[in-house]
Amino acid sequence: MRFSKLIFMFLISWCSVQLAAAQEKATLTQLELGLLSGKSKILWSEEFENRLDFSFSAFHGKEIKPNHYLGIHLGYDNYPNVRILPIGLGWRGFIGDDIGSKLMGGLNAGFGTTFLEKRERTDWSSTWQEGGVYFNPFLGVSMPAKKGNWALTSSIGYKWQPSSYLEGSHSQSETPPKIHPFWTRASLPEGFNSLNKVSTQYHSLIFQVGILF
Amino acid sequence: MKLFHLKIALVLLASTLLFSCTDEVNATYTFRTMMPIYLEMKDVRTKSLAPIPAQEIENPGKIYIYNNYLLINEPSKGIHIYDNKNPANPINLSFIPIEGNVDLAINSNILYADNYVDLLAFDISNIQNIRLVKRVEDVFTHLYQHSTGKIITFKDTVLTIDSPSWEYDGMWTVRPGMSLLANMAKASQSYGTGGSMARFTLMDGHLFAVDQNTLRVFDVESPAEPKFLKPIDLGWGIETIFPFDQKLFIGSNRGLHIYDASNPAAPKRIAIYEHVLSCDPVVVNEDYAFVTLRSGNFCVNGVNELHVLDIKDPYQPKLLKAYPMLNPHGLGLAENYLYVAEGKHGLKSFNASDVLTIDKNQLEFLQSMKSVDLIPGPKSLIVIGPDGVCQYDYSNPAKLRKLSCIQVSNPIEVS
Repeated sequence: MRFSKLIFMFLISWCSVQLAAAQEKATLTQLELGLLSGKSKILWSEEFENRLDFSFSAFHGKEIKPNHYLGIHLGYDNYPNVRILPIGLGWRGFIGDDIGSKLMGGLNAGFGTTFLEKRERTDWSSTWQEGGVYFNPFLGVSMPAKKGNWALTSSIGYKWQPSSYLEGSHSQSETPPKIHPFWTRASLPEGFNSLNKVSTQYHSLIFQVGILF
Repeated sequence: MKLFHLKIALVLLASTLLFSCTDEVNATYTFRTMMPIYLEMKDVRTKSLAPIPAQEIENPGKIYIYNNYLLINEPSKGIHIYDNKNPANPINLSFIPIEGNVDLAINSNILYADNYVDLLAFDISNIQNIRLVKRVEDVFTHLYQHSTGKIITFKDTVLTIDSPSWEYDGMWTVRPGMSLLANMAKASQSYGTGGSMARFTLMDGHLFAVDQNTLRVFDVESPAEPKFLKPIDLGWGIETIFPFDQKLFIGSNRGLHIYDASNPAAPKRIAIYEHVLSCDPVVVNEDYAFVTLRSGNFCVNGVNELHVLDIKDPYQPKLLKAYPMLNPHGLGLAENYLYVAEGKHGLKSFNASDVLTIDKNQLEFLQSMKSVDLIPGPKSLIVIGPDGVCQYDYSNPAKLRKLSCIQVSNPIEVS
């Protein structure tokens, strides 16, 4: 967890510097639909099952130097047990002639949130989902359209996304149960007697097609 | 070129479908529990008992007023000493580190305190130079784990384990909220100088100590030389002891036992007033005993009431009246004024001169004063609750005035 926090902080700082330098330059928007492919381990057994999950991604960035864009990344990933909304930063780089297809490389990283997942609470217990820092490098191609200023893209990459499902039992004392933010060190949140936690690290191969403009 | 790129795209898609990475799944269970810690008394006896500089109170336990001093037990850890000459400004003087200590009583400048199975006597005639004068060994022997010959004590711990299956809370762990034996802090919560939830008490040159089922008698005619006399079996569910007029009023969760202690070396039971299963603090005066019954963690199936018993004939205590209450914990009597700590509901004061109309003579109901016990002291009414240890001016019984609060870092949970 600490390592991912370091990556996140580094990316934020580096990107802020670059974005500050990019003033009146070109912008780039990319929308993609994708498939996340992985193998899930069935909890408390030695068996695996394949998964193929839907993903959507949006990027908007500014050109920081020729053929390099830095900007914001948002998305939606529909994993088997949780729906994640990644929010982070992205980089796109291109190699090739000005006219014609180019080789495309990219990196998205940030925090996968669980805003779509409801927290449930009874008098005795609370259940909720937590996300985590995500990391998604990829390589692909960009194929400009014959007419208009847009291009078709396709890429393959890797996406790492941790997520947890938690169920805690309330301590029935004066202290109200409080679900603490993910960065807190305490192993048991305030107001809880016990906590069941299932942590999954999703390692996915991600194939995406999209448009660039 | 375009076709080439399209082919690459198809190859990429195919590889995504054919090759994929494996997720990692890990289940853990984190829980709060009391970890047993085993101790040898021979190691405990070598620890220094010399007072150390003042420490902050974490959990207030038994409280004792002695002259201008306030002594507050920190369950299982020791005793804090406060200069209480001015109740509006109690000064934290020092701390006596005593492992396993849950109770104390003071007689003629001698402080008695338990140290797991031993009884200690300290000379406190010079508060700046407190010294141990006597150790009576192997008295509270119920604390020994016979199978191991060691003392068992419990430490509040949070553990995380890999979980082979979904764990349900409370099935097999020792839960702090539920285990009387395991949680010394809860068990010895809030008592006073003859406060209504006391477990050590002094009368007629003798020290009486109760635990869950035994009354232990010590001869302290020579205060610095306590002598253990005998244990007396009391049955079970014993909780509190209140001495008055050569009698001992012992509260259990099934009733009130009255013992004749005119021969303090050999107390004899003379009566028992039984009631439903409830927790049971008691205070008495010459004619009446006031008993609070409450429902709560250990007192399942209980009721919430104040019972007034006629004890003019101690062999035949009679219930005079039962008043419904909210969740009464400890209580205190100062002349004709009765104070009842109503747990999270607050604090009530009554003029109890007519015991049959106590409810019609309620003086104040201070809902902000959550409290579990109180002690009417000579200079102040001491109230123990989630705010810590607070003192009130009660010279006007109808209008309590807050003087000070000693903050504690781990306030009492009022349940």
